[in-house]
Amino acid sequence: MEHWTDISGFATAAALEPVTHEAVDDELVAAVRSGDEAAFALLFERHRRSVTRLAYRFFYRREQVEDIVQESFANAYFALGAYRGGQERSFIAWLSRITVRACYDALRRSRRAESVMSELNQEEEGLLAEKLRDVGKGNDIESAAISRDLANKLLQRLEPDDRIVLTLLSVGDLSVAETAELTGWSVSKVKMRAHRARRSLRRVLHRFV
Amino acid sequence: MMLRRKKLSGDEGFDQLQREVLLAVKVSEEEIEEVATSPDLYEGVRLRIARERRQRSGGKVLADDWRSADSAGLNFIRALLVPSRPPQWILTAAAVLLLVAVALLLWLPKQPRESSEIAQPVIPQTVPSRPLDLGSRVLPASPQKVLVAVPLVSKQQRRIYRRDQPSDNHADEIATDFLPLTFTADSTAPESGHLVRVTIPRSALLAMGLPMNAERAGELVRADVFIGDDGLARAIRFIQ
Repeated sequence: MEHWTDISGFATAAALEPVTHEAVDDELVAAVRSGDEAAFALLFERHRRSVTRLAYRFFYRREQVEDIVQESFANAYFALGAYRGGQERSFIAWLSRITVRACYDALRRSRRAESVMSELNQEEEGLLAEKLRDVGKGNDIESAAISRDLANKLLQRLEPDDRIVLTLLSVGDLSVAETAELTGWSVSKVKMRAHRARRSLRRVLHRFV
Repeated sequence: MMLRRKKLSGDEGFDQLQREVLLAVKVSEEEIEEVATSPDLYEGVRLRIARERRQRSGGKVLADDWRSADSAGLNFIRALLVPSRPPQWILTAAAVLLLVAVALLLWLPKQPRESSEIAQPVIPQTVPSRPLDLGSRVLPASPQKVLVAVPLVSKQQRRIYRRDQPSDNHADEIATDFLPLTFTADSTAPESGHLVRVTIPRSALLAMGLPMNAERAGELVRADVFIGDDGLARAIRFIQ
């Protein structure tokens, strides 16, 4: 029998408490391990924004992002036994790594499944070329949305590994060491991947500019 | 020099373009907040966890395995049971074990036959090749000497054989004659073999090609099965 709790009240409760302490996360993890499902709901409440932000770095459709967020928390739930509290890393760092892994897997799946869909049609190619010439000039919402859509289609042409590294380094403003930590790769692999990724993106851009 | 400056300028332009493209995928905090605070989001997590639990319990895994997963042993088991990406070393170990198992299977059946061929003259088999009289009779004191001749090769094999034999306290047992198992009673019948005492459900008799009373299918019967050196069951007799 499962006991799940309505978490609508947790937002208020979390806001009242002095949050963002790693010790609180560790206590909540311990509570979940001992069978307190409500503690997991609170963990979700505390970190859902961070996970959503991270998922949005790689996916631009809302349903994709929601899917990643849910998968990440579900994976985290079943992996809590492997979480080692403050000994290794904070809970959010641990959760971020799970999220990046989920994004990476989803990118690989979508690259296989949607390779045709991600192809640009002639009109989009023209629009992309125009946008790339005027990039940074338009500030309106519509222009930003179109740019984002096109940029995502452009980035879908990269290998998942390249995309992960480029996004974390350039969009997430992470260091090489932080990227290595999140991906579980070595620092040298991240550097090598970043170099290859930039070269790949440049090749893609050359087609349109 | 001019060419190099132009190339540099082109590189810088592309770098700038790359940055712009990468930054274009950024979304506003409002959009993040809208998805993060969606009321259905946690419901989706809850459903995924429930579904995963069902799958794991279907696979004979404890539903709340993480609760006791602090031990390295359970972490190892969990790693083995995760279907998505088994570590390379597990696949390698499994392949090695499989090879060893196949090698053992190929090697083991040969061993006793080879040793019997070298050490022993073959004693003629007494299992009849035609339908036998089903009338019951009392077992002699040493039934194996009369009914089945088994080569006794070495001390070790003798020990194994003795373990298989009905002991003298079976003298009061009533046994039928041996019934040849028709699906193996052919020209390649073995000249020697082992007698094995078994207790089996009557329903198993069907698999041996013997008639069975369906009303008594659930009952157990005791029997001696004569197994040739090739490992095939050649004849059976029933014990009361």
